[in-house]
Amino acid sequence: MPRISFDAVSKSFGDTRVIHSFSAEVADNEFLVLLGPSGCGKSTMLRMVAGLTDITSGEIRFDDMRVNELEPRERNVAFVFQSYALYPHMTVRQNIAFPLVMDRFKKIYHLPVVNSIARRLIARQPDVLERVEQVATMLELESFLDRRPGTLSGGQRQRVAVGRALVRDPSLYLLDEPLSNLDAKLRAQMRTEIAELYKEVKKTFIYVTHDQVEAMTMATRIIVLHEGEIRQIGTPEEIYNRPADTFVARFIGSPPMNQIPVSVRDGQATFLGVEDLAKAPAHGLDDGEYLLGIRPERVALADGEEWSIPCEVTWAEFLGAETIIGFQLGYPERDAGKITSSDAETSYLAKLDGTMRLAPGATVHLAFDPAAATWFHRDTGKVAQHPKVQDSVTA
Amino acid sequence: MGTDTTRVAESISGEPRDEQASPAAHRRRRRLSLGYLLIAPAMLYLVVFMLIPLYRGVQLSFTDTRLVSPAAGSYVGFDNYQFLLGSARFWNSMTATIIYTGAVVVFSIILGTLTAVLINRPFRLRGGVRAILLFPYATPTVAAALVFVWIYNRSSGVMNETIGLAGLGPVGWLGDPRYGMFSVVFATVWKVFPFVMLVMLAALQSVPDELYEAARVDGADGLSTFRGIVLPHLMPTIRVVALLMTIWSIRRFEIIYLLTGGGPVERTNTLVINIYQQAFQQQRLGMAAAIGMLGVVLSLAVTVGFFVVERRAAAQEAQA
Amino acid sequence: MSTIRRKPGQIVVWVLLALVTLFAAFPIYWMFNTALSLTSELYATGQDLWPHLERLPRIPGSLAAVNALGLLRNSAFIATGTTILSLVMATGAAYALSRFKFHGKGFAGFFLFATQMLPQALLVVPLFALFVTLGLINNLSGLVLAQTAFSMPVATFIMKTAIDKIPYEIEESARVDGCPQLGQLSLIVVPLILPSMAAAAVVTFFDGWNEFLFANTFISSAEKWPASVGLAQFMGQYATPLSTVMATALVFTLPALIFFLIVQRRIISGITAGAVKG
Repeated sequence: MPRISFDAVSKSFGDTRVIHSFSAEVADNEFLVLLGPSGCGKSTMLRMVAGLTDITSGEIRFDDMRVNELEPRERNVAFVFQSYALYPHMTVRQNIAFPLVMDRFKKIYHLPVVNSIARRLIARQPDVLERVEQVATMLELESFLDRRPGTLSGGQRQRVAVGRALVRDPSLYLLDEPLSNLDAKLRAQMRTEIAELYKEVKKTFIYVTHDQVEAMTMATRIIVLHEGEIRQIGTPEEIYNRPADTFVARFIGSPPMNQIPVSVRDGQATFLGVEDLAKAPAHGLDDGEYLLGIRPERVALADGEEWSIPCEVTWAEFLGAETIIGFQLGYPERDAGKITSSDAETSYLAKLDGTMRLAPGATVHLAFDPAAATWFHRDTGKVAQHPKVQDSVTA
Repeated sequence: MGTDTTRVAESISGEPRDEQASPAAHRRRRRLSLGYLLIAPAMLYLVVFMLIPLYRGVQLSFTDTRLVSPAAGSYVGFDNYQFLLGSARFWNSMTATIIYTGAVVVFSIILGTLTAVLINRPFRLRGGVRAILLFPYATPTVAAALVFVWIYNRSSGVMNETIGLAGLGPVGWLGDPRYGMFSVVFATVWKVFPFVMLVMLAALQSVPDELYEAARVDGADGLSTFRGIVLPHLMPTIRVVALLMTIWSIRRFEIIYLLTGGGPVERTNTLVINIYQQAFQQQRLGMAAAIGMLGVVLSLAVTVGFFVVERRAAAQEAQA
Repeated sequence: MSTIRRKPGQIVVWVLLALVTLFAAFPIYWMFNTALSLTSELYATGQDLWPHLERLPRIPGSLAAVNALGLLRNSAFIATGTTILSLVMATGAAYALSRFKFHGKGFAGFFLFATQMLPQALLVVPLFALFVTLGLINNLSGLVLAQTAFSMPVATFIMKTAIDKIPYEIEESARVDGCPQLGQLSLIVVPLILPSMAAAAVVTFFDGWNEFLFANTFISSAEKWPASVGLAQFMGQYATPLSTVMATALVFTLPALIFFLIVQRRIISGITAGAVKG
């Protein structure tokens, strides 16, 4: 069970740099999630850990031993592919047994013809059979052992892939978007199963996904990647409550955090374009230009707060327990003063009680607790002040 | 600073430091050279049995080597080529090649595409019909030539009996200079059109159904649907098939050799037949090689021309 | 089907289809019909369109008279040798072209394609000289060597297309499981492309089976003739009855018909790779 160190790991394909100097530590027995939008380099990162992709520069160490040049097998890792990559010509039993068979393969067995005979013979050895049965029982695959992957459902294939990873008891599990080919219901179920597996095997997991729900529910730690750079490393709580920059803030949480441009003077924030309507308190911030980050669930109808801001409802969606509204700052008739375009997608969002019925065009007064706001520097996007009260994770 | 320079060097070479020493790095290099190892037998084989003979052929074409003493030819420079380019017999051979190739390409593509369109819809016995349509492609050329010689037989062949029903003939299909080329092309088209059909069938199956539906909504009839929608979709495939058919027709030997041997009156004496005659009947290996080289030049010219046209067409399609 | 009102256009379609099918089938049928005819019938005017099936039992006898079995055995030797040699080299080449990056890969691919342009008739002259030196004249193995040069590239194309279609993750998965590169080829890739390998085998087998030019040039003794040369020798000499010639041609043709029909789809997907992309 290794501790994994990344030391300025970079990767280029030709002239294109896809990973920029990635440095991080992964503790033993951690469930690390690499989270980011597609194309952020997270899969490339995982493949470099596995040894499937060469590292351009920098170093990956397992317990202080450099592994850059080791073959995947020598790193004692298991890899679950997004496409599962099962061997279509082998039965489920043979698929799961394959890593064990390879362990016992002598060089001479690799001769053509000899190899397929050897593969079958080794797969019939009692200890191999026993281990395969054991794994199959654990994953409830016993009744499918003699079927080919082509005849299985998506969820069953997924389980075979996990079984193949599990069978050799590797010290590190690498999973590349393993749930993205499943439908929503199955995904939730497999999520639970993988989380249970993690608790059971007590090994290090590195899990790549673009799905924040998977990240928030399974991870002990998350690394948010964007365009090949680490944007934040932290626990799910930290990532959600104390985002390091506007990218992370927007990427985590659904609906995403509002980021409203404001100017701060003398501990008072004025909203850009509607400066005369409201001043929100901004304690402890230097004068300057900021983005005020506030999660939609923290926005509420004004109820006797010392300040509130008049807004126009641009759209409303009734979802049962709650109502999501899009809004713009200012009164409807004050078109010139609006700071966002009328396009609904650029509206700010508020998550209100399900009893609220608001029609588009209505004027409401909205307010929020300034202590729950995150402040970002408008020029760099980096955080200036974390919220003083913490949300519990509600992803 | 020192580290930085190393890093830069690494990112240029794509290989980390300490590489030389570690056994793992050695393994990685072996991985790379495995690619060469796997393709080497095939490449070496082609060098020995194609490239070197081809080179030998180029050499021969500059000599007056004769079959009786293949090692004893002397260098004659461009004499063979000069002779050929001034020889009516050679130009006749060139003309025969072009006529033969052009006719085979045009007729096999028309017939092959037509047949593909005809069977590209479900009907009973479709599998059986398609199997029968493949017979010619699978038939060994020698067997095909044999049966065609019999079909073309002047006194008892079924061809003359058939046209005899209409009060025509009998015709010397293989002996009459007016019909020799037709007969050879006819037999060749029979042999190759199923290949065109199979390729076109595959291409037809890649025509999106929406295109047909759109055409039906627009009220287009069968023929204009074909012209306006299916044909443009097939064009890239037709171009590739035309290239393959052309290259294969220029080099086709057996069926012509067995049907007419280049006759009647050299009407079907294509370059490839000419090579064989020069080499093994006239015993002039040098001259035969020179003809062969000019044949290869013709094939190459067609191929290069194809890729030029293809690139232009692709650019136009990209613009449209 | 009969309930659908047939438009005149559809009748034309059916007539055309019938004509093309007749065109394709007739020479084979005629081969069969002639094989069951008597010489006296063949040269009389007005031949029977229907075969004399009752004469089928005579065919083995007439085949034995011209030693058809010997001819076919020689053809089978050339074909088998060509197939084995071609597939062994093509497997490696196809895998390398599909899965490896190396310098000169583009050139190697072009080289393989370029072989399709060289006429056998051109190479027959220098190969003749080469084979004289190597003592391969009048030798069936020499024919295998010559034919393989033309068949192996085609087998390579067919197999490369098949390998290209296998998701690369399957091999990577095997690599993680501890399977070395060559093991990935033999344990994963080859089993997965077996149908296409079968198609490549059929194509190369019948390339060898049908080969005429090299055999006609390099083989001088009659007992080494393959069926293609043997059949061509019948042509123009009237000692052998035409029905026997056609019977021989038929047994020479039948295996090819059967095997090509079995693997037709794979052949096309290989040969037309890249050509049909819609």
